[in-house]
Amino acid sequence: MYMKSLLLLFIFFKISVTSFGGIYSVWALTEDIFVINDQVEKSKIDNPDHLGPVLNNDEFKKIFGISQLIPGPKTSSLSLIGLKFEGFLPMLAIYLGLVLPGLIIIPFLNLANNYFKKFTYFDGFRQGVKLAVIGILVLFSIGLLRKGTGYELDRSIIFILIASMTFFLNKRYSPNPIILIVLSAIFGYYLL
Amino acid sequence: MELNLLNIFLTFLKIGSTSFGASTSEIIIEVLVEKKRWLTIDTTRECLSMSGLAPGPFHVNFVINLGYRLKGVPGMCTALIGFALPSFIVANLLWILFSMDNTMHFIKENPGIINGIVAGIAGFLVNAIFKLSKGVITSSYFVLYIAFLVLLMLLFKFSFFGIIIGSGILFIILNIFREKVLD
Repeated sequence: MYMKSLLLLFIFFKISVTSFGGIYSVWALTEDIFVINDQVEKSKIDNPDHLGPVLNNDEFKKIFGISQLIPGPKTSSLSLIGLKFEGFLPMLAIYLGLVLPGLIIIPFLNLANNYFKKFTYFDGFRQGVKLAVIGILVLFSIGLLRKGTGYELDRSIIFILIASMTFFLNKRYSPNPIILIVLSAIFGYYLL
Repeated sequence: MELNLLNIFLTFLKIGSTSFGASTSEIIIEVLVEKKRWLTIDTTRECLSMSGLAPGPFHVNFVINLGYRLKGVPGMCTALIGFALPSFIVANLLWILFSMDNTMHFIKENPGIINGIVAGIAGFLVNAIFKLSKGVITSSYFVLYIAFLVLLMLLFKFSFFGIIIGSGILFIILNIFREKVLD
C-alpha cells in the first residue's frame, strides 16, 4: 500500500511537472496512463511497477464528468483514481503528486524573482512544451469523440454540435460552467 | 480580520467552496484585496502571472503563491488545504452518488447523459486549445510542427512525456542558436 502510494505520487508528480498547458494536459496524460485502451503496451512505458491501466472508459468518463461539477480545483476529482487502489492513502498520494511541483517551485520563484526574469532559456522550454501540449490536447479531443460516440457518423455530428455549443457559449458569455454541463447532459440524454 | 493561519484556512475554505472555473481568480481578488485587504492588487497580479510560470494546475499554484505571500510556507500549505478541501469532499460525494445502484441503472439505461457531458467538456477543451495557441503559435511553421508531433504520437506511439520534454529541450536549443546567430 505504501509502495503503491509512493509510486502514484511519483507518477502524478511527473504528470503535473510537465503540465504547462493547463489542466487538460493533466487529463490527457492521466488518460494515457490509467485508462484501458487497445494499445496497452504504450501505457507501460512510463510505469515502473506497472501501475498501469486500471480504469475502463466509463469510469474515466465518470471522474472526468465529476471534475466539471465540483467547486474549486478540478484536479481534486483525479484523486478518485486512488479508490481503485483501495484506500485513502493512494487518494492523498495522487493529490500530493499533483500539487507538489507548485509547492516546491512557487517559493523558489518568489525568492529568485529578479534573477528568474533573465532566464530566457526557460521561455524557450515553455514554448516547446506548450506546442507539444497543443498536439496532445488535439489527440485527446479526438479520443473524447471516440469515447463518446465510437466514431458513428450521426452520433459524431451531434457530439461535435454539443461541443461547439459549449465552446461558443463559454467563449462569448462565460456562464457558470455547471449550466453548460447540465445543458450538455440534457442534449446528450435526448440526442446521443 | 487578523492575518493568522486559522483565518487564512477559513478564507480559502470559503473561496474553494464558491468558485467555479474562470471566476476563481476574480473571487480571490475580491476577497483578499477588496474585503480583507490582506494584499494589494499589484501583488495579486504579480502572483497571478508568476503562477503561470510554474507547472501544475494554475489555480492551485495561484493559491499556493498567495498563501506564501501571506504567511510563508505555513501560509501556503494552509491556503491550499482550505482551498482544496471542499472540492475533495464534493468529488467523493458525487462519486458515491454516481455509484449508487439507482443512479448507475439510470445512467446505464441512458448513456447519452455521460456522453453529452463529455461532448460539453470537449467544447471547453477546444477553448483551452485556442487560448493556448494564441500566445504560442506565431507562425504557420508551428502548426506544421504540431501536426508532425501528432503523427509521431499517433503512428509511432511516442510517449507523451518524451514528446513534451523533447519539444521543450528542442526549443531551448533553437533559442540558444537564434541568439548566437543574431549576435
